[in-house]
Amino acid sequence: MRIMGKRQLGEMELSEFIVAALIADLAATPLQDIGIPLLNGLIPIVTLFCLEVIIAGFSLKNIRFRSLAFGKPEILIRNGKINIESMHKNRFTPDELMQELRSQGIESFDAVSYAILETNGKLSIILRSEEQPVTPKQLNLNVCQSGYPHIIINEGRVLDKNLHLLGRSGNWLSNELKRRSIKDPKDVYLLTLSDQGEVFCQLGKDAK
Amino acid sequence: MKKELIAALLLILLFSGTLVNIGVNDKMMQRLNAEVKDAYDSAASGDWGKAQQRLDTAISHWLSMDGYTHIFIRHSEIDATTEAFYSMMSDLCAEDSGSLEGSYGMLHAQLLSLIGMEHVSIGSIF
Repeated sequence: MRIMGKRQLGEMELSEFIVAALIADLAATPLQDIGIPLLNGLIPIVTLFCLEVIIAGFSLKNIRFRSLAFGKPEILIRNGKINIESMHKNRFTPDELMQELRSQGIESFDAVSYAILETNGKLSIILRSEEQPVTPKQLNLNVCQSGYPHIIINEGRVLDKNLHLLGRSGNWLSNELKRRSIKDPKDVYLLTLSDQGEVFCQLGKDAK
Repeated sequence: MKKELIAALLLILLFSGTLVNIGVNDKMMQRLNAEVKDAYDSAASGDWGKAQQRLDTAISHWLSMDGYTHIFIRHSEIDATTEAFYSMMSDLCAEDSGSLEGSYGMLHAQLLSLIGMEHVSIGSIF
């Protein structure tokens, strides 16, 4: 699954889901029945895997093939108006549509500019401009970037690679721990350092 | 692109391997079939001793193929074929020409089935 790409692990397309289910079933068959040679399970798995890699690769290169193999996103709501034809075509009921909207905290159809049914079955909703949350940029506010927090200590283990990536040394870490009255990095459950230099530290259960 | 190329090569390799396997399997089963027919012909001409000797050689060949058969053939098919070999041997030892007809037919059909099931055909798929 990992060789097929991380896309497989997260949001699978229908064809990818079928291949994953088939692979799982094929792998289980020779394990359950000792009368079936292991090769009878392995060869179809390798064949499916190869076909999946080729199809996924080809779909990246060819838009027509991609829409043929994985389908096209369908617009279910356009400017607050439900597209009944698309709803029927995708076997999507009004109840399900309402449920999707509610789950995304949307009360009214009028608030929706576009609701798009993606090829992986998820409904993406784009709100009307006047319904979208205000951003600091729209308010002309200067906000400091929080930055990505990198893990420096993970359950007592110091990740030197991340430490050096952020241009910090072991001395810096020792000082940080000393500042928090921590004697040993092993006492720390999680310590993160953001790009902006913000440190988050959580002690472990056994730390005194 | 590299990943797709490797996958395509792997598919070609698998397909080539399948064709090679069909060829190897055909050759082995046809040789066994010829040996079994030879044993049957010897028995039909009344030379039971020679028939037993021929079938014994065929059984040795079949058993020596164990490494191959256990990897490529369903174990139930292997067991059925081995049983058919010894059933024919039993009839040869008993010099029972009436029963030999049936046991030879069974073994012959079993070996033909082992050839057929490896071939790519509508029958072997469905």
